[in-house]
Amino acid sequence: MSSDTTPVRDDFVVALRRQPARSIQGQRVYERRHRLINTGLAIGVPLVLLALWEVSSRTGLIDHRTFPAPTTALGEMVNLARDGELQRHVWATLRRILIGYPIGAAVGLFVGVVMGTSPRIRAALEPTLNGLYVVPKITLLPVFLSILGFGEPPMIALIAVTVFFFVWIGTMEAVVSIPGGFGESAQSLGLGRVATLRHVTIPAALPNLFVSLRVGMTIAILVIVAAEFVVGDSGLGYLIFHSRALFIYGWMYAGILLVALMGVILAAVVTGLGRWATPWMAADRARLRGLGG
Amino acid sequence: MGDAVKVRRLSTDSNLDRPMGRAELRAESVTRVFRSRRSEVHALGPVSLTIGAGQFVSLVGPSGCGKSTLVKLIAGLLTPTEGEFTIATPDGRPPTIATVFQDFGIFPWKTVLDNVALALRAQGVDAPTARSRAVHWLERMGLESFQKAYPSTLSGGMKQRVAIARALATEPDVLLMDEPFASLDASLRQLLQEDLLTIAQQDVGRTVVFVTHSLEEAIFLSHRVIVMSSRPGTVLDDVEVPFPRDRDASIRESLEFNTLRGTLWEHLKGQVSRPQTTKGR
Ligand SMILES: Nc1ncnc2c1ncn2[C@@H]1O[C@H](COP(=O)(O)OP(=O)(O)OP(=O)(O)O)[C@@H](O)[C@H]1O
Ligand SMILES: [Mg+2]
Repeated sequence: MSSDTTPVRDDFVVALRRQPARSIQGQRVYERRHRLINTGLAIGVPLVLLALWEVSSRTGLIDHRTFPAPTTALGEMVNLARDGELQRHVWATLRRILIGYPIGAAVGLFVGVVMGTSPRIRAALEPTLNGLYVVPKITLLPVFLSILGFGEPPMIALIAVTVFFFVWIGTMEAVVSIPGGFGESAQSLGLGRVATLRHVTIPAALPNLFVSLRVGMTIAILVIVAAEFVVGDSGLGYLIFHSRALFIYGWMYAGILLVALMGVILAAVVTGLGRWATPWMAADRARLRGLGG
Repeated sequence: MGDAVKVRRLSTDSNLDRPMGRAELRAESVTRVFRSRRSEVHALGPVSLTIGAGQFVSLVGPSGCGKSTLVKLIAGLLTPTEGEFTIATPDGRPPTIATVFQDFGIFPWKTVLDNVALALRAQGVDAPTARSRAVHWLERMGLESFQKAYPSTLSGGMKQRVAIARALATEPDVLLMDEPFASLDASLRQLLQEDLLTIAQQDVGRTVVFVTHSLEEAIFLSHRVIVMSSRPGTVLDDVEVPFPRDRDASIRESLEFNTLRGTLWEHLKGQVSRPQTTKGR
């Protein structure tokens, strides 16, 4: 700043300046503040929305029977939790996901990799699977109910099938779109089929694959909650749907909130696994967050 | 491999003073056409050419003339559209081939060390040995402090050095290098050229095909320089380099060196098509 940047030509004036955005010390402070602000916003925005809701409901700006204040809903939620009923519903939904999701994801990964690496198998299966893919999975519920009877199996099957389709198509596309140069490189190193799969195909597909695993998780929650609306006597879907029928709107909102929370946490777990599994993407991720670069 | 025997007998190896080579490469009227639904590109040939066992041969030619295509044919990554390509070895067993690709070909999901070690593991070298050999070659390429780094955090020239280390670490019978020094700065380039020369002098058994755009580099390193025509690439000129295998950097200053470069440039010049709008220099 203090250096002399007066132009040599005395009939010229400085037109543009390129200066350090901040000192190295300042950069560290900036990054810490950047993180702090982003975290603050992430937590603050929903809190402000809840506060607005609270105030509007209490002041009668909105109907407090259909839109009970969040604190009221929280109170009713605590009551429901006291006799273990809330936990039963949360656990029912969570359990179905924890069983159905891994099954669907594993089969989807396997079929996706096989179809991605073999044009012949792709030619044989892709049209059929694509046809099934566009069928809304929830419509399969009656089918599963008639095959598997009532209870847990049809619910778990529904999640598994839904997740399978997302993961299958995402994995297949991730594998197909691996740049050819990597394959040539693997071939020139003399890697065999299994080694190529392990050292080249799977890691190359991994970043895109985790995108579909995360989408699959979100869709799994969507589908299971919808299924619980109509079948059985447990789960957050059941709680939401039947509280409305009983006009206990507090429970309904508690249920919605818990579904949202479950979705956020489970998606974050998948994202976290993805980060752990793709350490080489760390630099790209920092750039995306608006740091470094 | 019946071919191996046949080719060896027919070979017109001009380097009979080098009986230590382990692999001889031979192209017989090889052409390569890339066909797609919309277009047909005649990329290469017909090319007929014998690269003697233990020879260091440079390929020069205008951009797009099929040099990389020829390298991939040798590496077995492409098959010829017409003609035949054979590699002969003393015992008829397939040689080990390592390739340094023009676009590096290293894996972004593996650390620098793992990239190099993988090539050795693929050859059945046990993990500890692979590791120490990889470290040795990374040190040689000046990358010892980047062993644990991922390639995305390296500069272009550093990635290229990883690719070179990976290829050299396997100590292959045939070494294919497709513009390996293209993205290095001039001084590092010169250092690595001298390194490569030393390596080539130490291991006289290795057959090397080296693609470059630099005539100096080609003359400095090789026994033979092949000038290719513009696409479809054919052999325009095939020149023996009149320096002994045991040469050093001083030959760059010699009259012979510069005369040869002048001759080769004359041949190459006619093949380089200039943009229509600019007049020739
Ligand atoms: N996979 C492919 N599909 C279609 N055309 C290709 C393919 N690979 C190469 N070609 C074409 O073949 C020709 C020769 O390509 P090649 O990469 O061998 O050139 P090159 O001599 O290595 O050029 P450079 O010096 O620029 O690297 C080019 O016209 C290119 O467009
Ligand atoms: Mg090329």
